[in-house]
Amino acid sequence: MLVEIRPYFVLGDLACNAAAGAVIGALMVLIVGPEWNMFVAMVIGTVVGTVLSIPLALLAAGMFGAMEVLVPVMTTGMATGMVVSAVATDAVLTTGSGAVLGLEVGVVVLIATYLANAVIRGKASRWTS
Amino acid sequence: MDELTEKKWDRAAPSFDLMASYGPEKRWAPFKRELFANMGEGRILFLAVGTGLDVQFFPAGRSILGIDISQKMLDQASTRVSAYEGDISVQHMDVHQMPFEDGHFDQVFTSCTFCSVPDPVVGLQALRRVMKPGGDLYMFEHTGSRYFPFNLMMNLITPVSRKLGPELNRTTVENVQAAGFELKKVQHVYLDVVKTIHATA
Repeated sequence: MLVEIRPYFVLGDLACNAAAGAVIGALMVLIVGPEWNMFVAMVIGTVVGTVLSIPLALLAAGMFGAMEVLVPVMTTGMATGMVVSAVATDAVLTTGSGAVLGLEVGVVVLIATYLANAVIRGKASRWTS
Repeated sequence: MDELTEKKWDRAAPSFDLMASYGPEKRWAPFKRELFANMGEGRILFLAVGTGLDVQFFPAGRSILGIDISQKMLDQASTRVSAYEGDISVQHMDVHQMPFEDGHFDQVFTSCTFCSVPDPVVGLQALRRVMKPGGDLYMFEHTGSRYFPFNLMMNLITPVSRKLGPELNRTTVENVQAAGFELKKVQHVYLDVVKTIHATA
């Protein structure tokens, strides 16, 4: 199998990324406001989101896997921080709407990571003899 | 003995299973079982034993010597090691300073080891020395990634992760070749980050 199909891990991956996205999305709304420069907000959001994702990933790793949790959850943190910060400079977001946006980013990142896994595992596995 | 590495893993030993024993092992079980099924009838060296999580995947009846740089890890491993249905012993040892004669082992297996060996190419050369010419090296390892954004994140987190445990951006496949092994097979388990490697001495 090129992608994870065991329900425990698929649902776990989904829960980890959705939750990380929601938490980081809500926090970014509390940090970034409409008065911020969008570029600065995106850079800071990317860094803060990535840093915040690490403890969340470590919390989930014991239950659902090591690199399989760390890599997508950190990517979710990075993307959520960037996207929610950018939106928060252009519109008034509540923490709830930030959380929903972050959750959506987390799900998209997870799907993208599953696709990347299928492509990389299919393409890069190789026999050399 | 590399005391810095030894102390790092001694510190990690009491809580190691909390992080590693359920999710990661359950996730990797099919791949590890497949890799360790290659264990043959000759002398086998396994590093690093850690808390013995991998022993459950070893086929029964093999003759295995396991080593680890952390005595506290080995203490944690004792129950799992004693449950193995075969000939297995463990020793507190640094891969850089193995006392075995040249060509002593038929096969060497590693599991999430070369993310932590301080000088991986020298460590792999030490393994090659104690292996019979043409002997098999089988590895289950996590490495860095060639792909953005995974490579960026793993490079950023490694300065922190190496203080607490493993490095996340190792180039283990290239290191295996640099140590003089002939690469036979690389199988990707997750992205290009978790993989099994088969090489010969």
